[in-house]
Amino acid sequence: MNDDLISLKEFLEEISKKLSSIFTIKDLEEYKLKIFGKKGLITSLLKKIPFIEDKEKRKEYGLKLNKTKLEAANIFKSKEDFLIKSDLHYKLEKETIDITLSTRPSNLGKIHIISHVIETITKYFCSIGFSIAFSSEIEDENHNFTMLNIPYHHPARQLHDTFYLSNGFLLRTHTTPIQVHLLKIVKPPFRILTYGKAYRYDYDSTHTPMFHQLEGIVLDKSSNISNLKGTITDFLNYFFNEKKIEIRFRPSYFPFTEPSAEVDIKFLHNRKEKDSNKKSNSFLEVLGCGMIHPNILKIGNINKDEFQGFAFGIGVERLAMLKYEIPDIRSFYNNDMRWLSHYGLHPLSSIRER
Amino acid sequence: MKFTFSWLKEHIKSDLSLNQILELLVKLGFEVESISDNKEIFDKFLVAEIVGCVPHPNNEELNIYYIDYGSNNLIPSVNKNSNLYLGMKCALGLPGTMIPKTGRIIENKKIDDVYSYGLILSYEDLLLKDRTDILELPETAIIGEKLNNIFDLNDPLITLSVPANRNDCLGIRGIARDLVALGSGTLNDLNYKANSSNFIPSMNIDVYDNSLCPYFIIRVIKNLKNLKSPLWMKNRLELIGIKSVNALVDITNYITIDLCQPLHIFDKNKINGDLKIRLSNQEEFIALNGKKYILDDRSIVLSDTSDQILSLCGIIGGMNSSVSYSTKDIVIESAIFDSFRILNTSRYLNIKTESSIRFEKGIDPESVINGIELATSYILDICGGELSDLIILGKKPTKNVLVPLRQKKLQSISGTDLNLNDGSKLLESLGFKKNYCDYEMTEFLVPSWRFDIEIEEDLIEEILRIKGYDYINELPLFKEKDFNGNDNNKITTSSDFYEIKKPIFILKIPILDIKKLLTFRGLYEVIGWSFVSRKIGNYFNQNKKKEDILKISNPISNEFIIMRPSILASFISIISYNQSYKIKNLNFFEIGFQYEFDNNQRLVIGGFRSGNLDWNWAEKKRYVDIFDVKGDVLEVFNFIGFDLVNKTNLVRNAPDYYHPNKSGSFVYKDKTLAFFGDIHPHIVSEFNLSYPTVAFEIFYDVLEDTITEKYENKEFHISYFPSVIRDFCFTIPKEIPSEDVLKAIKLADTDLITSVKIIDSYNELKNQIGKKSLNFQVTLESCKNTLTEEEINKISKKIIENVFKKSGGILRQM
Repeated sequence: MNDDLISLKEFLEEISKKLSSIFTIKDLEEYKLKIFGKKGLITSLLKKIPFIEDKEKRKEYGLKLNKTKLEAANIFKSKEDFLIKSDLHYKLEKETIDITLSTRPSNLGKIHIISHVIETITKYFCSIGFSIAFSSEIEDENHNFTMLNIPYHHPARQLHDTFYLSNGFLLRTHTTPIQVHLLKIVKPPFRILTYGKAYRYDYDSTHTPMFHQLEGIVLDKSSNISNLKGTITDFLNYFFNEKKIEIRFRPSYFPFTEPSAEVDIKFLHNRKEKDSNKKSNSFLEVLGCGMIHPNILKIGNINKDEFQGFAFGIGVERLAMLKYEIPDIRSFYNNDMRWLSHYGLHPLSSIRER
Repeated sequence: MKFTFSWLKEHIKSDLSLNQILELLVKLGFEVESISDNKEIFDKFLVAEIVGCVPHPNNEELNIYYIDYGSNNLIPSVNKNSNLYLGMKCALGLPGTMIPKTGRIIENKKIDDVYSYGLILSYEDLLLKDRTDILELPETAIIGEKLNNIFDLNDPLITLSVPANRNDCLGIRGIARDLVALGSGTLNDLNYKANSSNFIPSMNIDVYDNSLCPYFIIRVIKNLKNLKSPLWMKNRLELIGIKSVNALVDITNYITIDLCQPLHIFDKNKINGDLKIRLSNQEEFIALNGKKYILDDRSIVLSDTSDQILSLCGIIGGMNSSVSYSTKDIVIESAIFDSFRILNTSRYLNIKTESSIRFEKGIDPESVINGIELATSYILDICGGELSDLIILGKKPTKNVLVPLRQKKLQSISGTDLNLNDGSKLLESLGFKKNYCDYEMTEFLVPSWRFDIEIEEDLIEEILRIKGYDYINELPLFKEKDFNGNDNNKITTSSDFYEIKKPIFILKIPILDIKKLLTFRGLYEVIGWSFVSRKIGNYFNQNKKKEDILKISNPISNEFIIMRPSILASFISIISYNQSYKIKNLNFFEIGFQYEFDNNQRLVIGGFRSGNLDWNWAEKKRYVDIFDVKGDVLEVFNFIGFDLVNKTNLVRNAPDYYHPNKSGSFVYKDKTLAFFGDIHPHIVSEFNLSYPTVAFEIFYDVLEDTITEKYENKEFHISYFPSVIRDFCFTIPKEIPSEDVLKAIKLADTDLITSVKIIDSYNELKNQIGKKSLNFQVTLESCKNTLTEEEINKISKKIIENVFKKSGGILRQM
């Protein structure tokens, strides 16, 4: 029976040899059937066991054959594992794609910079107690001028500065008429902010016939020029957050405020080269403000010795032009898609102020 | 207001430099609009004299001038025979110097075979004036010196913006007065000689009504000789943009700017007899500017015995009495005219002169005499002549405006500790005088030249102006419970403000969130003009009636004439603009007003899409269509939390700027909430828009109405059993809206049917005219059990039944 034992050893060697030339699971399965199948080699050898007469030898042979069977199964298993693995690998390899290809179009629009600037400003003032209200863009001479203490001979009332409408009304030249409407209805104390379009007969690189104004009105028992200065200074520092600025208050004249001031800012760091020679080193006007004129308070029958307050008006485009270094005001209203895409803001831009 | 630095210095004795003065002017409330300082330019050029002249041998138009520029050299320079004369002092540029105007370098060169050295410069070359003739220097200029040393030339021009209420500062004297109040120097006395008269004029003056002209002074000067103005005066006037005419005219202009006292000079020999100040009476008048004006009966005029109008008082003189070089005898006038009439006349005749802008705001009565005396003294110096006495009509008006100032008010307005004493000192430096004072207030007399001081606050502004705003501390607004955030303030809680037609309104729906939503749907925010052209306006008029359109009476251009009747109207120019740059795929929106004739302005959310959506290798190219904009509308209402599909009617009555059969509108309680659809092909071709073009409009006021609808909070149970999906395909008469069928399906079992969607739609069916086919996918789900085949079949049957009942639709075998 030694021959048999040797043949078992050879048998295993032969399997190994045969397996090394098998490369697919399918061939492996076929071969596996030949060895382990019902008519397979192992089965036929097993069937021989009962015919071994010597009890000892029968036992020994049986043990050895079983061991060989196990060993053969192991060889098959590892070959199978190997084949599955390399098969998957091949499959994965085949699935490789170019990850640098572009994504599907995002189809995301942008918010106009004017809206963004208005949002930035209103957020700030709402956080210090202002509420937002609006009034009409269509006004009459009375509300736009006369009641705002702008007399007939004031240069602002000349026909060529104001757009008059076919129905006898006019397009407001500023947002200030809201003060008249407010005082007729609301009793102080209040802090109110308004914004919207205003219109003037002017069209060049620094003026458009339609523009946006934002106006704040504070009326209570004690707000004075000191508070006005503080409020405006804090606001401007907030608005031009990363850009260091110097702020200057300078006396001015508005018919509806007394005393009146205009506020200039100067950037303390170098701006773009093209205007660095002159403009960046000088003060630039950003807003007008002042204490509400007693004649305006009279509209609401308010005793000027009991209530006082201030108002300020901001040119939204002007502020946007300064902050974002936009040279020509007309570009706000050309609505060039390329411009809108460049200066426009992501809808959720608030976390990263440009 | 324009003036030169040297001119200002005539009035103020000060050591301050130009820059220091400019800084003070800003502190005083004047805006320095521009400042031109030519020092560097003039540094490079020399004074030269023309000492000889011979004609150019080869060119009749040219001369060869011999020039002395102080180096003992005479150099020849070839020049056109213009205003050069022997002995004239001129400016010479040596070879290698750059001409300021052109940037060209001067070089010696041959001109028609004759050498020409250097260049004699014109006004224009030196950026002095818009004149091509050769710059003439004063006789006193020293040959060989730098041009820089001639002060008149190197006189910085200052352009100030004077606040509208400070008419006193339309005279250089007024500006000097303000500067002195800041402690920048002392005011020089007005420098005129006592003018002694030689005769009493034989002229009668009749003033029709004292209110037209409360104060009127004239003087006659005989036997003078009108000449060219001296160079200093000519230069100053021309630098500020007033053309030099002759000495007499120049002197009146000079005094106007100098003292803010407009004057007028008449040629006495052109006046017939006496003078009369009266109102015009439908007369013609030819003014000095050569134009003919038809006067109504409201203007103040000066006429003579023959009733010819000599001048439109306070505005412009007449051609008939104007002075010229041959004028010998003159009448000079200095007066105060009724400012309101001057303003009216100036506006209705549309004449604006240096004189009218000063009279219409009022002038200092004190300067009437000063003006005529100073002018007289210049006339005597330049033109000579014999003086008459002054003839004075009326009385110098005195206003005596008294304004009280309380310390309490000063401190409460300014937020400073300034006391009455500090305030008084500052006011006195400006010429205010204490009239009365007690322990808590002081009453001030306003100086005669100030017309803008009426109330206490005006005084406070003056005090702060001189003290400087830097003196005031910066304090934040006080924090009070009332002002914490904007939700509990009066404005937002009072129901008065909720109606959009009231003068004050608030927006209950956060507009910015809608903007963000639409940008997430791929739309860019634009801001269009509120006004459009007449043509566009008419196309987009929703009310059809022409008279409903709101027009601008004085438009800035024909493109900006109609207040947009629909927000879509202003999109046309945006589309055209971008298309001209080949940008044809447009997706944008705007939230803004549209305007109606009755002043109603409606807030509208408008959107527009054209061309195809952005595409690439991964996303196939697709044209936009009506269902993109319908989706935009639905998303806005989803955001509001309003069930647009079930709470509104979707009808076909969009305005006629939409495609009649590819558009719709959502109607809520008889009000239109939104329009959407294709733009009418007619408009698309008229304005050359690229196809397809779709748009939508949502009306904010109606949108706001919907938020009063109660939002129903339905309970929701998650099912733990598998859902079942079934497809149905129906053949339906074409005219039945798919939504009706969809609703019918849903009604088959409102509990178990959790969703129905249309997964396919065929409009054209073979052999079945008038029919269409719709494929629905229905999802069924129960919270109680896994649906049995029996239950499913029962619902399916009901669905088929419902669809048939509602639409006559029949299930097709798939």
